[in-house]
Amino acid sequence: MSGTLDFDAKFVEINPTNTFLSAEQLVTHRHLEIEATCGGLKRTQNEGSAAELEEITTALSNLRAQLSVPRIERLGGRALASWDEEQQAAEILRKDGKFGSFGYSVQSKLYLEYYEALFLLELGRLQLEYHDVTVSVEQAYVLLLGELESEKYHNYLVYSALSRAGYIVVRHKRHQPTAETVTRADCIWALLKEKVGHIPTAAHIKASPLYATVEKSMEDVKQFIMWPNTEQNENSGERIDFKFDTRKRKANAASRDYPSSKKACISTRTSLVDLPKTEATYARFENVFKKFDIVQLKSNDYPTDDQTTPPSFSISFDLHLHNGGFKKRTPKTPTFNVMILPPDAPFPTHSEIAQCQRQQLHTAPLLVVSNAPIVWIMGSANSGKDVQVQKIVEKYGFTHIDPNAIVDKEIEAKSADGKKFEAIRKDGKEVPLADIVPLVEKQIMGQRGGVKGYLIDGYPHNEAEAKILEERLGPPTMVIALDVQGDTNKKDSKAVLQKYANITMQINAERDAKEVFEDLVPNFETLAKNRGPQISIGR
Amino acid sequence: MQFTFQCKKKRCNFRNSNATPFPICEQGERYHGVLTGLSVEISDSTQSQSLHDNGCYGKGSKSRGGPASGDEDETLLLGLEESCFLAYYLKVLEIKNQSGTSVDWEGFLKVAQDLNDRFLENLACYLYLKSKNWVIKSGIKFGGDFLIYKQSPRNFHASFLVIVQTHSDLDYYQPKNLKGVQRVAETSDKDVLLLTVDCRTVLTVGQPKEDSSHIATPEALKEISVTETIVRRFNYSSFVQSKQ
Repeated sequence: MSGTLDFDAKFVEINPTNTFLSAEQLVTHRHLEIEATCGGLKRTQNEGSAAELEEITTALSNLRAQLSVPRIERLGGRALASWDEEQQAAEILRKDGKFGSFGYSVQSKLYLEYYEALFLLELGRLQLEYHDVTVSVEQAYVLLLGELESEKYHNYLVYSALSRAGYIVVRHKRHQPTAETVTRADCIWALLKEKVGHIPTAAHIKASPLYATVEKSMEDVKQFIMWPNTEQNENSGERIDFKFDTRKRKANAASRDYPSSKKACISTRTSLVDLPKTEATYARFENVFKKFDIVQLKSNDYPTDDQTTPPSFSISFDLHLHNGGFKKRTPKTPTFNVMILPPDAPFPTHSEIAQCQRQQLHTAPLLVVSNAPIVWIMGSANSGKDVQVQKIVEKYGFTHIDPNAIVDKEIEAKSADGKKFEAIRKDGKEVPLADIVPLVEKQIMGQRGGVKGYLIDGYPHNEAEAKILEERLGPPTMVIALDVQGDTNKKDSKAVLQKYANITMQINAERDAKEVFEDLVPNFETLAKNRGPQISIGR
Repeated sequence: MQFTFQCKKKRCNFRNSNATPFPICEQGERYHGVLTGLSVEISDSTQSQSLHDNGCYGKGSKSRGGPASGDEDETLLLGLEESCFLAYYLKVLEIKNQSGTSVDWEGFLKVAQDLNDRFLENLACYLYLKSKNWVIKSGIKFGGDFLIYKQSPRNFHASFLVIVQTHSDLDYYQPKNLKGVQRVAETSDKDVLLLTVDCRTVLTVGQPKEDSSHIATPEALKEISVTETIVRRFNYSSFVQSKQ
């Protein structure tokens, strides 16, 4: 057969593994629209008629056709990057074209943040490799954003939407007032460079009050090296040190004062709707108005120089405009700061925004992150733990997570994990927590939305397990230990309790279940009120 | 960025230079209203006209705004908050119940709280805004608690749709749910003003509503404080296009 084929075909046909499209094909592909013809009245009820059936089948086939349109990838003009698991960033191996606002460099290597890498990948500007294997877009989603739901998804969605809209989106950097101050070492290095390398000194170093003293002391040292016998130098050295001290203090104070002028513009003390007070009628009847001016604006002003405490809401991105002259190295004041709120978080209040802004020096938040509290409940089998757990779940709607029950369920379902666990149990050992945690994560992820909190039952037994739980599920908001006499595992659990001493509640469980629960109630009340924003689930 | 808001003027030349924000009564004379269970009704037509002209209180029973139909039997209906304000803070209104006996602060509070269990919060917000010289009307037609106007609804469009928030329904006002209210307000050039009322010092959680001994006088409301939040939608794509 093959012989005849060779004979018949004068031209050998080559079928490349990658197919390339012509320009026309590309254009038609881009404007491909698969849509059902619409018209007529909307159907509101199931009729079961032939026409309806036909409509459904065409709608389904349209959907299938839309989903099965082959993706076109660009092979040329792509930059090449490889994913660095440790840095959680993509290292650029080959650049193609200008990178503009993308990426950041560490030790003369250019890296892309996970969201930047994914964005460029989706645009067809980047070829991403992981262990020398090219990554597809679907794989990149899992690789870059992680398998579990996390804020990375939200960050990426916000990043790509804003970037596509035409903003320059960069990661927000918290303002650090001390970063600008020039240290003595900076002055010395600048002076040495000027003297030895003839490199002009930067203006901000010259402007520093330290510069003059350092210059003077260097002159003195130079003199001392040239004519070592002059006594004067020791005195001058001391004097300079003294001077240096006072001036340093001065410089610090100045840098702390700097933001105050801008801070003043955001105040929570005055009302936003005071305008009608300026009218003539208000002045005429001021006495009457004053008489019933009894409900006051609540002004929970945070201390104005509070630069150290982290804000309860965090800003994720800064937005710049393309024509605003943005430079990666020396970013100017951004046009906007972006906060990302999870779907069901309450809107930040005026004072929370004001506090957040005070620490920034500039303006305009949009959208932010809070998660459910995690409570560990520990205690031996006879401590009445189950009763308490049940009560907490009933009263506060916490999601109960019992690792042992999960294991039992897996064994019952005879899954691959279940069989493994069964074998371990048969040997009379306990299933290691590290094996159970993925299943717990699965349960947590399946239950997101409207979750009030998680109650992890019976774990951790020791410090190693506590570490695993903290790493995988996030640090606990509260630890409850139910104490009974004769607890055999006391030594191990004590180490855990010591580690989390400030959030641990030890409760004497050798009482009536009702009494024990009453001890727990106030703590859960406070938990329910302040949903801690610092806790995050997932990595 | 300094916050500013709209006060859109209406196209009408109506001017009442004598208007005052408060109804003035001659020595000893007071307005008389009857508490019907839903609102306080003023049946005397000169009284109702004067109440509406001075501070735009109430709504005519047969008109959209003030009593304007000219009918003999048209009455002026005062909302619970405004009648409470006129009666117990300005002390220009005397409220009687349908059997003719006058209603005091505690009695009124009880009736009002039976009708609307958030009455105290609403009243606190009413007082807060009134003390800033706003004219306050019901916001029910825009899905909020109040609408507030500069000067008078005859001269200006409402500047804000006010929503009163208590600590129990803080969870409800997530961005998702606020968006609806915000869009409704936006189509009519208003802003949404959220007033979060903190009255935990006055009403502790465990206390039954009937027990009003802790708010025995109108002045007890000074324990209450409010927080303001103004929500606006930002169209990021049109903003960036306008800058290019």
